[in-house]
Amino acid sequence: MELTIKDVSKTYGGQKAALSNVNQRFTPGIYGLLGPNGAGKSTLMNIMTDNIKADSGQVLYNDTDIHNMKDHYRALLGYMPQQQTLYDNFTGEEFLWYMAALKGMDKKSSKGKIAELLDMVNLWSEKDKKIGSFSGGMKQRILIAQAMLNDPEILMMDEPTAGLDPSERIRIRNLLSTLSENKIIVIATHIVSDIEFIAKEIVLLRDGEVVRAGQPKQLLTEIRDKVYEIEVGLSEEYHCNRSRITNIRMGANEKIYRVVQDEPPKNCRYQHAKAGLEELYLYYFL
Amino acid sequence: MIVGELRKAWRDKVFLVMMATVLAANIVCILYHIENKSAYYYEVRQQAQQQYIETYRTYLDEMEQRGQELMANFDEDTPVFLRRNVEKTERDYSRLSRPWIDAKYNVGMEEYAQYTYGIFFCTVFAFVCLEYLYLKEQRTGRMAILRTTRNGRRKMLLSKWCVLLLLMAGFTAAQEMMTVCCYGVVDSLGNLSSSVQSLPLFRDCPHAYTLWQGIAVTVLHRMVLAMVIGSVVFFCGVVCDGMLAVWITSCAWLAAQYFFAANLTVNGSFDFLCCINVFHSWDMKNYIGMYHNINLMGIPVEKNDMSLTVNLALLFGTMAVSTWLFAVRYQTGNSKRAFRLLTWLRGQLSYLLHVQSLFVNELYKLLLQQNKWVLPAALALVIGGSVTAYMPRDYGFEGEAVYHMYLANLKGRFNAEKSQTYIEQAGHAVALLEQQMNEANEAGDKGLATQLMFELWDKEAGYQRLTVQYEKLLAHPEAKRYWIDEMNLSCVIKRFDRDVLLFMMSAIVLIMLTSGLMASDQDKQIADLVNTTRSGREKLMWAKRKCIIFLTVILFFLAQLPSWIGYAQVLDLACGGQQLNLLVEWQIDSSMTILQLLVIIYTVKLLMDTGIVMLTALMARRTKNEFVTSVFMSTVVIVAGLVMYFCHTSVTLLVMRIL
Repeated sequence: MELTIKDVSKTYGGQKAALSNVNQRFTPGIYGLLGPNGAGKSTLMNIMTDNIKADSGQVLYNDTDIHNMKDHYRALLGYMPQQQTLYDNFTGEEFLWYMAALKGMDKKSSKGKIAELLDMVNLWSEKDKKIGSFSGGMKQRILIAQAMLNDPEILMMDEPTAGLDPSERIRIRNLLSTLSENKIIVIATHIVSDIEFIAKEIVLLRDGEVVRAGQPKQLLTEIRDKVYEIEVGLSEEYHCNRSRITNIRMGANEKIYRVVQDEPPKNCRYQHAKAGLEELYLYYFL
Repeated sequence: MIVGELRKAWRDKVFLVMMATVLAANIVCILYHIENKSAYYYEVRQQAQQQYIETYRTYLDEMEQRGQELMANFDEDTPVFLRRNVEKTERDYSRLSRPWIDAKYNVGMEEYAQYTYGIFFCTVFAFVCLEYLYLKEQRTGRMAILRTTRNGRRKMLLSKWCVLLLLMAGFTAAQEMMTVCCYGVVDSLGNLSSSVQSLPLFRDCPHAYTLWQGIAVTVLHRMVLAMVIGSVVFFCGVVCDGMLAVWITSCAWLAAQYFFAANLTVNGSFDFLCCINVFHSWDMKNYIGMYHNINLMGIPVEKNDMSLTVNLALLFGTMAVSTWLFAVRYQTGNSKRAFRLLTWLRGQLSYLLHVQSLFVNELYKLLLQQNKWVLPAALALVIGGSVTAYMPRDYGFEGEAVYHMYLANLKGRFNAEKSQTYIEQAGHAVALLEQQMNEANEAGDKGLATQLMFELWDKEAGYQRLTVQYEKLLAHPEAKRYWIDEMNLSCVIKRFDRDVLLFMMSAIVLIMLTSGLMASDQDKQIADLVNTTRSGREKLMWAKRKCIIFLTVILFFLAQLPSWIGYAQVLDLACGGQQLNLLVEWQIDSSMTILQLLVIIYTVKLLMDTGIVMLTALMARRTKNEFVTSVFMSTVVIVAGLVMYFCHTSVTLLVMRIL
């Protein structure tokens, strides 16, 4: 099973390119798509889900163009969009039945799957409530449930854990990990901790281009020596590019800055710190 | 804060469109109720007016005399209220020393006074204001944010109240001005400087108003009543927990008011309930043209003053109570018990619909999820009310009754011999009547002679129509011939006003359903999600198309049902085989049968509906905006309908004209 993106480009209205010669190969496992707003993550997702057509390039599934596969490709797809606009007057269960009909599932398998998914995302007791009355987190969970209805081979998830509390985030993360053995799961997210421990590969996207792609350990190794913890006095400040400061901690007698930068700090006490994905994000995107 | 609230409403385009739509609906209602009047009508009414003018002074004198007689007969046992009532009545009417009554009959003024549908449109606008001033903010969660601010409780709600009252007053003023202008243009309001007592409708008015003052007072009064209606509706919206409770309480109050107005009289035991009633007070005939004093602990109080006091108390009372309640509590948005019941009901219903058919799912989504079942339900009400409109009437004048009687005896297949025999008998009856009339004349019995003369006129009129029809049928022995009550048939086929109304309503319902089907997913930005599913493209589009076809056919049949019932009353299937060139009324020189004509007419109607639906679907897909598509296409249909109405035509008549 393989999803390949070959030289995909997309421009909107003759302006700056939303995507520019993107190449990437996805095999079973979890892939994290990281990038700031406007990087092209949603555009890439929409192209991979065949919602929009790329200006150039191809998206191939097992070496077949997805445009030629048409609904056969969509039968393998599960998509969770970022926007939470849903059918407010549908109950949670009704909405899943409707999506099951759209996914071409038969009644018997729909019934069992809907019950299972509602339980899995902790919405069984709310299944008869209208979606309009759901909280943001509940809407997120119902969207996750509908994405998994048809047991897809390819799961595209745009900000899947936004609005969820920590226990729910962990639950979803563990679920995705379990599923990733024989599925391609692509997660676009800003919450780096969601993918830090489960992603097989992280793709860093900036201004429509893939900046870096690789395993998390490998990427973190590249900035291993660039993360510092700097101590200054309580009334002092550390002057550097402030947007690369990942954390400021107030001690009893000192202020501790955690920064990521190419060169060691000057004129202050510092020590090396362990690099994380947040530092990686800041390093490449700011 | 008032300016801020007003700005919020004015900047909401949907709110402005709703307001314009309700105003336009009022105009359509006015135009629908305007009847064509013949010169004979004006002549008769002018004569009645002249008679009224001659007797008005006498009427006032008689009233004064009766009052004096009553006063003279009062003793110690006379109830205090009765004495005071008579004294007050005398005082009030003494103001009318010399009312200037114009001899010219004010048709437009009378029509305006009798038009009372404006209150329904004000009520609809009250609900629109409730939605846009309060409920929308509550539903979207913005209210929770506003309530956390310093002025976010009493002051904020009072600002909303002020804006509500301003909007209701402004809307009513605009509506009434449009109504006055409409009637002024169509029928002329006459000399507005003459006294209001010029109209027999306002004979009992105790105020020395001119007509224009009467209009001004009525408009101002209606503005107050509109504010009261708005207050009660807004009060229910603020105080009640959940939409269902809001609808039930506000509609219950309105229904009670309407019931009292329809069933109570000012002369009955519950005159108080009748007089303070908004529906009763809205009617200009009641407000200006009716004089009545209510017994308030022995003191006679004029009903208008009582009505104003009570309604203003209601207005300020609802404002005060709701502001206090809003400040101290916040509703959850769903009435618990009713909500649980609804949830259970809905669960049962949706279980039945666990089908994989996209066609069924789309229909369910459209009618129930988008709550568009209201549209076919409203159309069904109009269709139900239209059935009697197509029923053949018994007779408009006596001659017609005679004709109907003849046709009732002859109805069916034309038999030359039997028909000749019957007509000869009818002719003899007419001749006999004439003979009797002549004899009465010769005998000097003018009364009997006049009576017989009127009877002869009617019988002759019916007989002549019959013989003309007979001769035409006789002249075509080769054709299949039937006796058909052509007057009744014309009644049904020439009912252009109801045809146009049903066309407009069914077309608008179809437009809204079609745009809801085709554009709502894009509107809700859920199209991207749906597009990624296996059946979310071509199959879903086919399912939507099947829904549109299904709805078009069903609604078409329902909308044409009243006319079909009308035709069924006049024709049977065999009579439908009558050729058009055998009909006297229509003057159509075609050998097509009536049935063939009707098939053509209804096919054209179906094609029109289909065309409208196809255009709507196309526009919805292109614009991806349900609201814009609905408004644009509905406007086109309404304009087309109004053009047909003012040209006194319909699709049926146009087809006949082409033939």
